[in-house]
Parts: sequence; structure tokens; C-alpha cells
Amino acid sequence: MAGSFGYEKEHYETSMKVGGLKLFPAINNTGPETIIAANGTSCRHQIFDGTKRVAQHPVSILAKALK
Amino acid sequence: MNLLLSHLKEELQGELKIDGLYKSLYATDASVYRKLPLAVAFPETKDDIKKLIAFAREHKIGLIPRTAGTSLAGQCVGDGIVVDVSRHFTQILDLDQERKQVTVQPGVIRDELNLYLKPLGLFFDPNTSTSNRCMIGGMVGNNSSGTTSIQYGVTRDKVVSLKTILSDGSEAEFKARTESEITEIRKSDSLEAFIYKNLSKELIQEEIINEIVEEFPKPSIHRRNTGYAVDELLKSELFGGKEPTLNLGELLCGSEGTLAFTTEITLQLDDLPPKLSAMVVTHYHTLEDCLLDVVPVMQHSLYLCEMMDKVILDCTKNNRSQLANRFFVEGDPAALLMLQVSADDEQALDTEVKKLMSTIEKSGLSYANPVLIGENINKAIELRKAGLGLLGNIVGDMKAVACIEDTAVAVEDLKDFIGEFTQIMKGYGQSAVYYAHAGAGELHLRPILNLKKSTDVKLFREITTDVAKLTKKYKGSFSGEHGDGIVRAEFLPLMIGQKNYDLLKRVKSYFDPLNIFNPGKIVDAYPMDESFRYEIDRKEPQIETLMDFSDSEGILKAAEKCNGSGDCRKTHLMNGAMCPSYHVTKNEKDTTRGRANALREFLTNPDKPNAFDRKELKEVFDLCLSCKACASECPSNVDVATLKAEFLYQYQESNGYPLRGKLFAYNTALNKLGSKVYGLTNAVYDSKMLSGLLKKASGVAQERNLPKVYSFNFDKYLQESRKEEHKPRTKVVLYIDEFTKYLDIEVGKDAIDLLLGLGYEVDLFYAESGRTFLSKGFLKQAKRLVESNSEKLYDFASKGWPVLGPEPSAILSF
Repeated sequence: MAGSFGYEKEHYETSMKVGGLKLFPAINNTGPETIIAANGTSCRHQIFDGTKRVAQHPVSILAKALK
Repeated sequence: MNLLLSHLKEELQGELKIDGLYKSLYATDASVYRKLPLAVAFPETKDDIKKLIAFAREHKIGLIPRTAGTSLAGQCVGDGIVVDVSRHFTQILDLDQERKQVTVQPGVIRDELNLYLKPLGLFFDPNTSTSNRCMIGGMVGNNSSGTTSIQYGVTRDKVVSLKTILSDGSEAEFKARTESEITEIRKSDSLEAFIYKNLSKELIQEEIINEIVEEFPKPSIHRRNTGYAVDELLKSELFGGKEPTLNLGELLCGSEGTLAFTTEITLQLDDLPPKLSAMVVTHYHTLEDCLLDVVPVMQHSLYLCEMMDKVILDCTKNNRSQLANRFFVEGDPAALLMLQVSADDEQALDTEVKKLMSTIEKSGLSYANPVLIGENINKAIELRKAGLGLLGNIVGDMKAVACIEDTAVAVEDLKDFIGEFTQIMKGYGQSAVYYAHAGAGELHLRPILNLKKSTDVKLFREITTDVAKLTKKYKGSFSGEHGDGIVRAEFLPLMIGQKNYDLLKRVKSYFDPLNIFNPGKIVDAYPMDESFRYEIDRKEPQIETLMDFSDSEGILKAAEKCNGSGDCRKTHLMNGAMCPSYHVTKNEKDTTRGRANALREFLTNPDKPNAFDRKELKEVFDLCLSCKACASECPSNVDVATLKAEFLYQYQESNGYPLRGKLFAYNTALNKLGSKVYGLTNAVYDSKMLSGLLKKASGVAQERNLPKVYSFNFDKYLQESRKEEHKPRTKVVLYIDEFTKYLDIEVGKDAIDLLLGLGYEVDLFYAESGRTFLSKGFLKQAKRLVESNSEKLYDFASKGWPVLGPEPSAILSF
């Protein structure tokens, strides 16, 4: 996604292709029990758009673990 | 000519680029040279290549074959048409498991071929420092070698067959041919027949054979890339040798694309090396001790025998990704050897290590001998590989330049040779960098010169000439593996004698009488002290920037740091993230190197007062994601994200700031506004029609959802979450950036929960980071924010309060 890059209409396709090379397949290869962590806001957005999986900020995962 | 080229363009199935951008991108390789080509072709089919050959013949222009373009001697630099086969000739065509042979097109990447072969228990050995992006075509052209050649040999030893297109457009396959096969071929009136007839006529003459034996480098030097390898052909029975066949493919190996255009390559493979390895890294107080140790250790069956000196080791101290790979270095060695032994089981390996250690202890020259196993060996190898690229990291115009960097002598001559070598270098006031494939007698030593200055260009020639003479004295090879290219070709008459040089010229004329294949290389070479990357004694262009490039001595020199090693051309199948845009497009213009090269070209040769105001630059930076992978992975530390931000700013200063750029840059202000009426805003975003219109008007992809905005009182949340406790707590500052404040409020809440839960006292710090301005080239606005933020940050720092924030892009804006 790289911030605004992946929102821009002429860059959308490139953005999704970059995700499709390694990131999306890696996430799609995990079961639903696997927690996906990503610390960038646009990274989480991109992961959702590419895989429909919700990625969490590591801080959120840690906060939940503490509760 | 442009009209002729546009006709050619119409005829080709693949692209032909004749615009200034592509000419600039293909004007350089990893050498010190630069020539603007006439055009760049990306043939899709063999027929395209034949059309290019016909065009070259008709108009008397050169064709420069190119794959990854990482040649160090200027092999890919020329003023004809660069023919880039890296884009469409990328197929693995056939695998013969029984014979352990694979047939590939020239644009297959070496490491990717091995990725494919690994499950079959096979691999292609020649292992260059560029192996994760260099291609088999280039490796054949240069007869590439690499670290493991002492065990497995060089590319020439692996080439079974080459399918080529000859200079008249006819096709020929060069492989091991028996005498009767050759007799059959000679019956036709093809160019192939002409080549066999004439070579045979030459190489049966005793006088010619004697001259080759007399003057060519010692045959015990297994890395020899000096001119055409006519000495290899003498192994054939036809010319008095012992082999029953003649393989002209061996002659084409190392011919740098000057004899024929290769379209298919069949390689002999090896079984994967033994599973277990150990590496002994011997450390020395002096270089001489290190070199003395090479001869005894080479008595062992080593898989690696590599040397690194202090200068290269010191380079790796300042590279973020290499620091971790220095773990095995003890003390401050003047030089070290990396000696690898391999075996199939623990016991055999242990025996190998013990035998090697006893040799090392017997010589007693080293002061530390750590033994590495497993992943640690790869880390050490990575460090050494990075050495080549890291050498370019000297800030400013003095660079370690490739010219005499590839001499090879017999191993037993190495110490004396380097002794005399050092004397020569001392005479020139050069403290040389020693980087050697020690086991192969090959030295990668580069003088440090400023080739922008005529005085240093003079030294460049003098040093090269002196070392050429010294190499000749030891009957060494002036090029072990990097090839003659432009830098060494003109020394061939000295290296192999005038008579042999004349023979090479005749060889060239048999294959390519019109001189269309890579002219100016090997024979009738370009002068080695012309056509440099920089105009000699130029007035350094002064380019004002808003960002601070002083650590590179300005933005132009920040671009000039790229030495062309092309690490940014590795694909997503390799380790690392550089460069995501290239991973997708496989277009040179979308590499870190392409961007640095284009910036260097256009800043050096501006056509307007604002040198940044070029549509070509807009084109190269367009797909840069600003991900910063290059900033840590590029061995020359080229940081395109920073270059792009400055470019965008300068470009927009002349061309205006587009509406969408403004929308993204001022996104925080808009979100602030939207968050005040977030119910309404989100309703708009949720409405397909309204958000569609909004996206259309603002140039946002319809496929994307606009992130919802929120209004949330973090102060109140913190207040309510705090628990009364009496023990003293450490204070931290939680940075609530613009994304956390308006978009990712849950992350902000979680961060508060986490820090309080861990027992910290939390203060909140609200600020806009400037990220959105930075990424859209609104540098003045970004700078104002960064400056006002840093005041507050200094304040926290002076109180000793750590500042934490959840959003990396915001934190990194500081």
C-alpha cells in the first residue's frame, strides 16, 4: 500500500501485484487461528484488501495478552 | 537514423526504445564507462533478434547484448543498439535428469535456476557475487566464475551447447563436435562452415599453436579470461590435443557477445555439494602472512578459499544490514581467509576440519581460527559478497575503481605477485584494497581514484599498464573472471603478444566480418581512458536542495553512489524487499539503479534552470513506493525514497501541486474536519455512490475503501484507565500521531492499556508527523512540522522520557 500509493487509481494495480507476490500468499497459507500482525496502518489496510483478513497492530496483540 | 529506428520499431514484436530516458538507463553498467546507445531493444522472439541483426548489417551499427548489466569492465557499454534479453528470454526450456543437463534462455537468473534445480539434487555452480540477479547469458558472455570455482570450475567448463544466431542471421549450434561431424558441416556454404574451415586452417599450424602455448597465461590458472580462449581449443585432437571433439562453445564463453548472439544455453550440472560444511576463518596480523598460508591450505579439498582485508571489513562496519554478519571477526585483522570444507556426515567433516586445522597450526601464521557451521557460514559469505558493492561506499568522488581488479596468477606466485603489486601501488601513493579469490590466485584489488579529474585518469592508465606488465611477467591472466570489456581489451597485445592478438582479430572476422556484435570489445577495442561515466575536469554542478544531502556531499553525489552492481534487480524469489516496483514490472527503469542513473543523467545535463523539471524523472520515480528497502539493502546505500521526496518537491515547485497530492498531503486536516462530523463523513464513505464520486473526483482507486474517521478523546480515556498505585513508575510518552488520532483509535487505546498494564506512567503527545506532506513532496510544510515537533521531542529527551508511538511511518518522519 505504501501510504497513499496504493489508493491512487493508476497505482492500485501495481500495489496489489506487489502484495500478491509474497505477502498475500503467505497470509492465505495460514489458518484462521493464526494472528496476523502488522504495525503500519496502511499495511493493515492492504492486507485486508488483499486477503480479507484483519491484521492487528502488535500493540493490540500484546494488550490482549495482558488482559 | 530516428526514422530508420521507428521503422525497425514497427517491425519488431518486442519493444524498441529510442527516448532519452531509456538511452540514459542503458548507457552504463557496473563499470566506470558510459556511452549513450542509439536505442534499447527488448526482443521477444528469435525472429526479432534476426531483424535486429539485419538492421545492424544494413546500417553498420553495433548490437550490444545485455542481461542484468552488472559487468565491471564495460562489456555492456556501447553506442549501438543495446539488446536486452532479460525481459523475454527467461525460460528454463528443458531438463535432462539422466545427463544432468539443463537448457535455458539467456535471461534466466543464476540463483533462480538453482532454486528450480534444488529439489532434483542438482545445481549450476559458478557462483558470482551477483548470483541473485545475474543471468546465464551474461555468465556465458563473461565466462563467469566465483567463489567455488576451485572445486567446480568456471562457466566454460559447464557449457555443453550454445544455440546462436550468427552475424548473417543464420542459426548455428556450437557443442562438442567430432571430426566427422565437422567435415559434414564444412560441406555447406553457410557462415558456420566458413568459421570451422578458417579456424581449422589456423589452429593446425604449428607456429600458431606454439605462439599460443608460449604467450597465453599459464594453463594451471583455471580462471583465464584473456581474449578469446583459443588456448582452450588446443585441447582438441584436431589441433594436437587429447580430446576427441571440438566445442566452439568454449570459445564463445568469455567472448562478451562479440562473436554470435546466444539464444539457448545447455549447461552441465553438478550434484548438490555435500550436506555438511564447516568454515575455518583464519585471522592474520599481516597480509603477507595471509598469502603465505594460501599455498598449504590449498592442498586440502576446499570448497572456498577467499580472502578479505581490513579495508573491506571496515566498509561493512557502516552498513546496517551487514553489521550482524560481522559476528565472527576477532580483533582487527589485516586480512583473513575463509576456508570451507564439506562432507556428507559429521565424522567425515570433523576429520576434514582437523586435517585443515593441523595444517594451519603447523604454519602458525594466523592468530585466531574460529570455526563456523550452519547458518553462520552463509552469514560470513554474505558479508564477503557484500564487500564488492560496499567498496563503492566511499563518500565523495574518490572511488575504488575497477581496472586492475581481476588479475589471476598461479597460486604459488600469489605472494610474490602481490608483493610487487603492493610496491607498484605504493609508488602511486595508493593504499590498495585486497579482496581475493585466494585459492584461485585471483586478486580483486582496486585503486582509489577520482575519475572526474584528468590527473587521476592519467594514473588510471599508468597503474593499469604497470599491473598489466607485472601480470605478464608472472604469465598470469589480466582478467580472471570479470572479462576484458573496455578497460582491459586494449592491453591484449601486451598480454598475449601481437601475433596472438592478430589471430584473435582474424577469429572475430570469421564470425563477424562486419563487426556488428558488440564492437569495441576484445579486439579493436575502445580506449580505456575515454567514455567515462563523468566528463573529465567538469565543473561540478551545484544543485540546491531543501533536504539535507550533506552526508553524501549533495544530491547529485547521492545519486552517483550507485555503482551499477544491480543488487536491486533481484526478484521477489530472493531474500530482501528491494525493489518492490521492479519485482512487479521487471523494468530497469523501476530499479533503484535505474532511478539513481536517471537522476544522475538529468541533474548532470539539465535542459531547464530547474534540473528536476523533467518528465523522465517523473516516470522513473512514479512507481517508487518510498518503502526504504533500498536504504538498507542497497550496498551503496542509495536511498531512493529521500531522492524521490526531494524530486517531487522540486518538480511540483515548477509544475504546480496537483489536487490529489494536496488531498493526500492535507489528509490530516481533512480528517480533522471529517472527524468533527464523523457520523456524516463515514456515512458518505459507506455510501457506494457518494464515495464512488469522491474517489473518482480525487483520483482514488474505486476498489479501495476510504478509511473511516473517528473522533476520540484519548486524554479522557487515559484518565479513566489510570489506576491508583503507590510504587514509583517509569514515565513514557505515548505519541498519538495523525493516523492513530483519527483513523486507528483502537490501536491508540490498546497502546494506553498495554503501557498502563505494564506499570508505566503515560503522558500523551499529540502531533502531526508530516508524513503525508513528505510522501507527496510538500517538503516545506513537512519541514515546519518536523521542526516544531523536534523541539518537543528534545524536551522529552532532556527529561529522559522515552517516546513511544504505534505508527512507524509517523515516527520515521522525525
